[in-house]
Amino acid sequence: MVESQLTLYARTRDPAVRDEIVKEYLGFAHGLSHRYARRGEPVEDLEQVAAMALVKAVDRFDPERGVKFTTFAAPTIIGELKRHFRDKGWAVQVPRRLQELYLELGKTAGRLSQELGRSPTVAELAGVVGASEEDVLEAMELGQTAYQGASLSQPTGDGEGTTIADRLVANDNPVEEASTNASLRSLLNRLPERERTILYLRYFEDMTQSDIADRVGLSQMHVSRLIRQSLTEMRRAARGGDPDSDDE
Amino acid sequence: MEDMTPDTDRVELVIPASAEYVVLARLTATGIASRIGMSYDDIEDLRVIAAEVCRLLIGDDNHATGTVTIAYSVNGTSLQIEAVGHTSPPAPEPADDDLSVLLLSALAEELDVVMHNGERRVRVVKRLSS
Repeated sequence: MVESQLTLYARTRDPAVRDEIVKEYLGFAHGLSHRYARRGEPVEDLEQVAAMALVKAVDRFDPERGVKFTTFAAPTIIGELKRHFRDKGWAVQVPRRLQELYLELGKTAGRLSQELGRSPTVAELAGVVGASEEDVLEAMELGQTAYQGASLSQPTGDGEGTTIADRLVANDNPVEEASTNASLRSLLNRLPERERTILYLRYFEDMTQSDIADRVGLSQMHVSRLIRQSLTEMRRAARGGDPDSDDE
Repeated sequence: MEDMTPDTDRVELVIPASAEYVVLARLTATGIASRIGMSYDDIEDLRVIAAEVCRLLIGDDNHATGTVTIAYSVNGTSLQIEAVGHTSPPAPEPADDDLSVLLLSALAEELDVVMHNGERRVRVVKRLSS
C-alpha cells in the first residue's frame, strides 16, 4: 500500500500523498535517529533532523529503480544525522567535553571519597557528574593518554592545520630543540600529570592562564610558574640533560 | 603511513549476550581504531557499527542467553569486526530493512550476515577514510 503511495507521489507530487508517506515512515526515521542519541544531544532535535531527511528522501525516491524505499532512505537519513553532529562541531566538542569531564572527575572523586569513606565507583561518579559510564571511562582513558599521546599531532582546530606540537614549538618558542612530535611527546611525558594538563590547556585549548587557574583550582600566579618551570624542564630535557631518557 | 606493514593484529573479546556489555564492544573498537589513526568521524561510525553488530546477535529484547565472541582484526588501513553469537536461540536472519542492517550497510565498507554451524555470524569491515 505504501509502495503504491510512493509510486503515486512520484507521478503526482501531491503534498497530501507525501505527508501520508512521511507519516508512515516516521517511526523508521526516528528509530535511526535514536541510534545516534547520546551525550546530551536532545533526542527531539535528532528526530527532527531525521524527519527532514526523510522528506528529502521521499522527494528523491524513484520507484522505477526497484530499490526498497528504506534501503534508499537510510543512507540519506544517516548522512544528515552525521552532518548534524559535524555542523555542531562535535569532533571538537566531544574531546573537549571529555577533557573537562576528566578534570571534573578528579575533583569529584576526591570529594566522593571523603563523603563515602571509600573510592567511588564509576557508576557513582557518572551519576554525580551527569555523564554516562561510557563517557566516564573514556574520559579516564583520555586523561591518561590524550595529554601525552597522539593528540600532539592533532590539528588544533584553528582551521589552518596547526598541530599542538606546532604550537608548543612556535608560540612561546619553548622547545625549539625538539624537532619531532615523538620527542616532544616524550618530553611532555616526563612532566607530572598536572603540569601536562596545564600545558595542554594552554597550548591546545588556547586557554588563558587565569582560565586554566580556575579550571585546575590554582592561582594564576601558580599556573604561570608551573608553565614556566615545565617549559624550562622540557628545554633542559631536550638538550639531553636527562639520564633516564625515553625508550621509544 | 602508506608503507604500513600488512601484518594483522587481532583482538578478541567474549561478552555475555546482553545489552549492558555492548559498551565493551564499542570501547574496544574505538580503542583499536584510534591506535591505527582513524579519524574522529570514522571512530564515531565505528561506535555505531560495533553496537549494531552486537545488536544483530543479541537482539533488542535481551531474550537470548549465551555469549558473543567479537574478533577485531586490524591492519594499517582497516578494521574488521567479526562477531559470532553463541546463543540459544541463535539470532534470526535479519530482514533487509532491519535498522541495524541499514546502518551497517551505510557505515561500513563490507557487511556479511551468515548462519554457520547453527551460529549467527556478522562480519563488517571499516576502512580508514583518507
